Order: sequence, then structure tokens, then C-alpha cells
Amino acid sequence: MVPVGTDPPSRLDGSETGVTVIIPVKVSGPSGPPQGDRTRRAVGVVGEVFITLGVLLLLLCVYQLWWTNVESAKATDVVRDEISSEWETTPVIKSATGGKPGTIARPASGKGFAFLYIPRINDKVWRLPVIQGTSLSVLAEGAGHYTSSALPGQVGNFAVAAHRATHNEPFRDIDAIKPGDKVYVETKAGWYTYVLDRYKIVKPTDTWVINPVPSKTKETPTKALITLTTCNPRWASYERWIWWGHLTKATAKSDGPPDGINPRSA
Amino acid sequence: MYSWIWEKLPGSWPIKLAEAIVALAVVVVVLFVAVFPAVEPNLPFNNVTVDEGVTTPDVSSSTAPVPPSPTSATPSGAGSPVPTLVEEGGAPGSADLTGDQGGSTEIPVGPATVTPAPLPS
Repeated sequence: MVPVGTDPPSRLDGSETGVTVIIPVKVSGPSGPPQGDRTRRAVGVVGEVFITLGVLLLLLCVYQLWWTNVESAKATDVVRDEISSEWETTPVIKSATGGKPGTIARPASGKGFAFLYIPRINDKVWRLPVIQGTSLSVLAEGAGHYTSSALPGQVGNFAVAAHRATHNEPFRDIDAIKPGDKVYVETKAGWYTYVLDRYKIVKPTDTWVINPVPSKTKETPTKALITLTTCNPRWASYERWIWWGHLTKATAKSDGPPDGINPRSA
Repeated sequence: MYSWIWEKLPGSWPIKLAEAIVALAVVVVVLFVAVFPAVEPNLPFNNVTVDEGVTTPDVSSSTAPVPPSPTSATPSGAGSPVPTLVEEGGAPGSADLTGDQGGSTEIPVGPATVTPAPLPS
């Protein structure tokens, strides 16, 4: 191969360090490089653009797979502390009749109001904050509560969404859950024990899954239910994974957490 | 492109190297803080809610028409071993609502104060 427009190296002395650096210096002047050189340079620029795009995509992967988890873990801790300190500094909500939890006020949008505990997937869902709303910014901080759905313990459907991939991925192991598994929900007023009954994979448009009675017909609810929603498949999310469960127990906050549950450690 | 940038950087080569590293760091920070978060909502694996393409159905109102749902066309349990339970006319597991209770406490029966609110879109 005949070297076209080979650049003669120039020498720079690293003086004291004695380092000798050889840097190629372009000699082709403004009079215009030969045709071959121009083509070569064009190919080089195209190559650089492709390399740049590749690096950008790799960085996007780093962002999604690592950085969103770092940021969300921090944000989750902040919300967790906010909820805890609010519960500690304001009086416990009591019901008129002892033994049962009182009623919490409907939380403001973006405000954390409950903790979720799922022993089966306790490395991800343990004191997981439940925040009012299901926007991406909310879901980056914890689990999101469908605004119009029931509150924990209420008759109706307490519906919650969370990420399965990226952003701390609370529902990463949603497929490890089995029918009969328990979900504990802690609010300022009390502890609620739900038992998960069944799951179903649905389309993203199937909003009936969070209806007060999860069916396509509008029915008046008589039971207190829970619904968990997340994406399926984990890295594609063109479907939704839905878990349904029902309330089995509700106790006032003063009675402490349910048997076998230590809120501070899984 | 990059050789052109290298040539335009002022100073001797160690200074150029430092400048290049700083410039690279700035680019990465801008990507992580501004560009990627803006791109993110369009990525296909961040959607975890049931709401897409539905125009604010009122889930609490019994008079509102049922939103058009393509589920009826979905074969039940498509692509997964879904335990099929009763879907219509009965809450799942309603028979053993009090099964785990041990008779110690009661389910609080209060009206669900579901306020009409649009689903997030």
C-alpha cells in the first residue's frame, strides 16, 4: 500500500524529564489535499460518528442499569425518612373503637403515606414507601399508589405500581411471588395484612384491573382488595403483570406490627 | 472530528489532555443529568402502570361507560401459565376473606372514599 500524504513526525523534547514525544503534524496545506486523502478523511469522520453513537448507547445503558438505581435508592431513603419522621412527630390516628385502625386522610399527590412489606421479595420490598400518584418521578422514589384507588384497608381496591427494571426495581422479583404470599401495608393508622390470590398478564390498556372490583363490569365493592402492577416482560414492558390479593387482617398501630414482622429488618 | 478538536485545544499536550478529560466529564454529566432523563420516558421498559391509550376513565363512577378494552380479544393466560379464577361477579378469594384472621380482629368496614381522579397518563 502506497502511503498517501504521509505526515513526517515532528520531535518535541520533554526537556527535564527526558521524554521524547512524537506527534504527527499535518502538512497538507490549504491548497487542497489529494482526492484519496479527502476520501480517507470523510471515512474517518463517519467512523468517528459511529463510534460516538456507540459510546452514547453504552452510556445510556450505564445510566439505566446503574445510575437510576443509585439515584432511586437515595430518593427512596429520603422519602422513607420523611414518612417516618412525620409519623413520629404527629399523633397516631386512632379509631373510635379500639383494636381497629383509624382512617388516614387521602394523601396529597407526590406524598408518601405507607410502607409496603412483601416477605417473599424482602430484599426489594421492605419498608418500601408508597407514594400518592403513579408518575415516573413518583415511581423513581418508591411504589406509586393509583390516585383514584382505595387506601389501605378500605373496601375497594388498593392499587400500587412499581418498577420491575431500573430505578431501584422494587418489583424485580414479582415472578417469584406465589399465591398465598402475604403483603403487609403499614400506615400511620395501622397494619394491614393482605394475601395474594392470583396473577394475570394483561395489556397496558386494561385499566379494569385496578377497578374497585377488578372486572370489566362496574360493580360495587364489598371487599378490601390489593392490586400490584408492574411491567412484563421485565425489559420490554409491552404487557403488565398484575397480582391481586385480599385483606385478611387489620390492626391498630398501637398493637404493633403483625407477628413475625420486624419493620426495621427483613 | 476528534483530531480537529485536539488541534483546537490550546496549550501543550499535557494541558490538552487535561482539557480533553474535563470536556469529556462535562459531556457525561450533561448526558446523565439532562439528556438521559429526558429520553427516558420514551424507553420501552419504564412503563409499569395500566393506563396507556386510555382517556381518563372514571374508575369510581358506576355510571361511566366502560372504556374500550381490547382484553376481550385476548386469549386468557396468553403467554403464561395464569391460574384462571373467576373474573366476573366476585372478588378473588372472597370466600376466605376472614380465613387468616383467627377471629381476633375485624375488617374495618368503612366506605371507600374514592374520589374521581383521572388515571395518570
